[in-house]
Amino acid sequence: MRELRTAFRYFDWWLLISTLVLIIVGLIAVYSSSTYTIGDEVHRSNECIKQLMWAVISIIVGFAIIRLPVPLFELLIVPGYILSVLLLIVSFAMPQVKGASRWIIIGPFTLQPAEFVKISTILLLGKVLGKQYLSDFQIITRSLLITLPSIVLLILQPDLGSAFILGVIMLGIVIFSDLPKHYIILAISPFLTVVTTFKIPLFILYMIVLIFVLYRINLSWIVTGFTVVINLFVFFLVPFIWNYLKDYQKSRILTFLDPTKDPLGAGYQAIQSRIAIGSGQFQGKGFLLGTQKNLNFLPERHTDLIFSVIAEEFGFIGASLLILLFLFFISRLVISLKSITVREQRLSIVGFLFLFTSQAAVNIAINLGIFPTTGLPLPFISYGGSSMLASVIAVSVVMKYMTQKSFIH
Amino acid sequence: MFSKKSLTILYLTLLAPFILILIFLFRFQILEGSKYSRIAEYNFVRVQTIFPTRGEIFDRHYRPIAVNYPSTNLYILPARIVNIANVASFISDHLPITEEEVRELVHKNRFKNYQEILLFHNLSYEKVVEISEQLDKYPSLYFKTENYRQYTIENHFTGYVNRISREEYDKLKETDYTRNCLIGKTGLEKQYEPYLRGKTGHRIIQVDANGRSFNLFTENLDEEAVNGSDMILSVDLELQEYIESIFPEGYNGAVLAMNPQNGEILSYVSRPNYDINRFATGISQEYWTKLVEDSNHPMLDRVATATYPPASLFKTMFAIVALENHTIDPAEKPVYCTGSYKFGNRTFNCWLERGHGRLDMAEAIKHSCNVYFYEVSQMLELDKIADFMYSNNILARTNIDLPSERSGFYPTTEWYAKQHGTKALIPGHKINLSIGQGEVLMTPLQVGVFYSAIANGGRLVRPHFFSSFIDATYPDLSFEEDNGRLNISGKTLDFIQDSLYRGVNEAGGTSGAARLYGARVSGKTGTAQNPMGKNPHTWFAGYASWENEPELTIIIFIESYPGTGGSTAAPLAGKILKFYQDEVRTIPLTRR
Repeated sequence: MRELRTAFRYFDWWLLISTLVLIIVGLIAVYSSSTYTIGDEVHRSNECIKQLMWAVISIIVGFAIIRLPVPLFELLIVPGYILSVLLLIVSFAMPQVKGASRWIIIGPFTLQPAEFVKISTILLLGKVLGKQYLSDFQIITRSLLITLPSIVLLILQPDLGSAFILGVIMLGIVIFSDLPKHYIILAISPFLTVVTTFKIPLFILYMIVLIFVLYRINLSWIVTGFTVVINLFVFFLVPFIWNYLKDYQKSRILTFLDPTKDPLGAGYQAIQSRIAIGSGQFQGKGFLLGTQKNLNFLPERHTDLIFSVIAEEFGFIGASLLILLFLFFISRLVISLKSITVREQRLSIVGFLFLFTSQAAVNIAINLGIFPTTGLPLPFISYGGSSMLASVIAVSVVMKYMTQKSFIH
Repeated sequence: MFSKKSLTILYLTLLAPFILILIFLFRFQILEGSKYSRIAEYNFVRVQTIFPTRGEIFDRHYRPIAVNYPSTNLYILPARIVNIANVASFISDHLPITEEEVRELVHKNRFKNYQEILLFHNLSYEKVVEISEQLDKYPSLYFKTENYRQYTIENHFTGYVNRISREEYDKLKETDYTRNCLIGKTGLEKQYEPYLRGKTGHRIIQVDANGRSFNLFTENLDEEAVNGSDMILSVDLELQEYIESIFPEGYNGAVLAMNPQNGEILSYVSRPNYDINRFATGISQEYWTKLVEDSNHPMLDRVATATYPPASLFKTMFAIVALENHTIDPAEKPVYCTGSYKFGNRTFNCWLERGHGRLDMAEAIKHSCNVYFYEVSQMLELDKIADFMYSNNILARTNIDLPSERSGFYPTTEWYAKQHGTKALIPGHKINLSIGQGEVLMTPLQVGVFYSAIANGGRLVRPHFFSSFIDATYPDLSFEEDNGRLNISGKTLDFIQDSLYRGVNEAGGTSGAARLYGARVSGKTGTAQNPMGKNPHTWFAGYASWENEPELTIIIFIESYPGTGGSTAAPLAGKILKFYQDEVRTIPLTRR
């Protein structure tokens, strides 16, 4: 009884409430996107019921995780990681859906292992990098060893969105471990190289700036040279990777660089979702009344483009309220960092923060047509059992760390 | 590590993307909101697909086989329905379709409500006028004139065209196929789909009702459709129709006429036929069920996708193997045919009850004597024949330019051992196999390629329909590469050619009915016991030469027909050859 009371004292009710509100908003949006009218008749499909079922299952699983003793939970991290990576491998043996092998299909259920890999990678990174007295070299090699296999598998699937998210997560956790800050430049510079390869003069200019910056922060010539060599290597590697990409991925990237190029394919989707969002204007067209949605202009409207449906029907008010809700949720997680003192757990929470932020931001950016189109769900909102379950598990882990911290010391 | 400062940095890092998003939201929804809502209101960014005209298919003399007919179709767009009850009752008043059926159609497509639904096909002019008068009351209804595919003959090689299926669409959606488009489903329509179809074009409509352009797309992105190429086949429509007309009515079977030198197919008949035009317009459930449940399997292509025991036609292969292995001297007369053959306690009969007496190999082929081959079968190893059949690609698929084809079968020692658990029964099976019965199975097409090889000196040609594309931008496909050569000596080949010639032209030959004045005809008949019914399957396989050049191979197969190959199939071959000599050969081919 005392145990429970302590647990309640440390329980973050605001985190719970914001999570539940996000789920409810998601259910409303899924209901709207699977309902539309033809003339005077309203048509519905049962996605909303399925999503509700998944929400209930997820909350039960989440509660079980909160109740699980921390030492036992930590024992599960490594097996969980191995299992999720294995599932990722198994998905390659599955029949392809839309040219990608991202899903494991068991009877009526489709599992998306990528969502669980994100969670298990974060937990393992926290556990491994949380150890005291790691050398810089150990931090870098271990984090790469844990994350790179999954990233490679995700690129092969291909699920570039999730691969990108996983990269952001690793970067975030590594930065907040004890690594000296100049490594950040080292870590980020290859990404900038990729962007600049499209224009060679820009790349040369960028290299000059990079060398100058590295020189200014008084790095040894060895580190500076290493960074430059790595970047040159990436510069020459990009064309090869480009050739490996599937046609539709190439077209999506090209479309992003110039949306008018392919208005029929990826560009069409970006423009239609932006029209949906923009036409929502200040107060929206009203619940169930989105015309872009009703006229079937939005593909994938209950999954990847669900934000467009919300923005179309609830306008700027609704959309910005949803973003503020996400911000509130994120800030509750940041606040939890203040009360949790265990290093491993803190690093994991940093990972979750980067997961939720990057995934939500990238998804909404895709909806706005300001990021290349990739299939990424909006956490808690998009239709899909795997995404829902994984997101709730992540929040439950944070809640668990908060309520049970008293037992560790 | 987590100083207050680093927490603040973390928070700001996480805050930044959301702030950026809010700025973009403000721009799109507030600053540019009215523009986007105008775009949304007039559905202004619309892509109109322009479908290419499908290439037509002609016979060798440019007579049409598959053609496009314009048809006026009535469509409904669910998204524009104002009142479903009104629309449904209007349609049911004017067309033979009930209100319920209209509602059902719309309901079935409820998740694709911006996709038009075909309500009625090929409307008469009167109906179009009648409906047009009130069309402005129902914005969801409109007419479209589209081509649909019609075939001038019932056949089993053109295949048909229909709406793309979900599975096909999933495979092709990265290309220019759209959800509602037509695609070749079977036969040549499927085989030559990329050439016949052409390429879809599109027009981007970005002007609102008042003619204002929003200039979302600055360049001209319209793309013209490229029509599919017309195609010429090697088929001779007159010969095809003649064969259809003389084939015994009410019986199933196949007739193949091809050029033994180059594999060009002149006629490709499979009976019974079915109304292929019904597929082009969307087949009714009723007719489909009828076709599927028909025990005669009218949709089965009996030339290339059905296998049968080749019966006495197989004696040719058998003789070749015996000669090549020096199992028997062809001049030797090893057996006296009394009309039956005792093996253990079983008796195997010859087709001629009174027996053929003593004969050599050439006479045995000519008279199609079973007992001779029973005797030889006991001297030959089973796998020698299997090896000949498989290593010479006689049972392999012939690579005909059709999407589906079956391979043949000949049992091996290993296969029998697996099947029966013992090799003891093989000698008995060999007796049956020597006259092409039992487990041996071939398609009429494979028989055709084999007999063509006998005719042309040993080349296994690649049978094909394709002759040329009319559109010069398409490549002319080559079928010159053969499926290999029969690995037999010139002596054996000469002997077989001679025996087949004697079977037609000498008194007493079983194929005598195929004889033709003016041509040099060679051939072999076959009569296979039919375990399914009382009548046997009858065969004829042969070829005819004019001016010492083999020009036509004919394979005839009639399922379950009263009579023998000599009395039914061979006379049919004689008629076809006569028609070919009089009506087909005399018309010169104008090559373009």
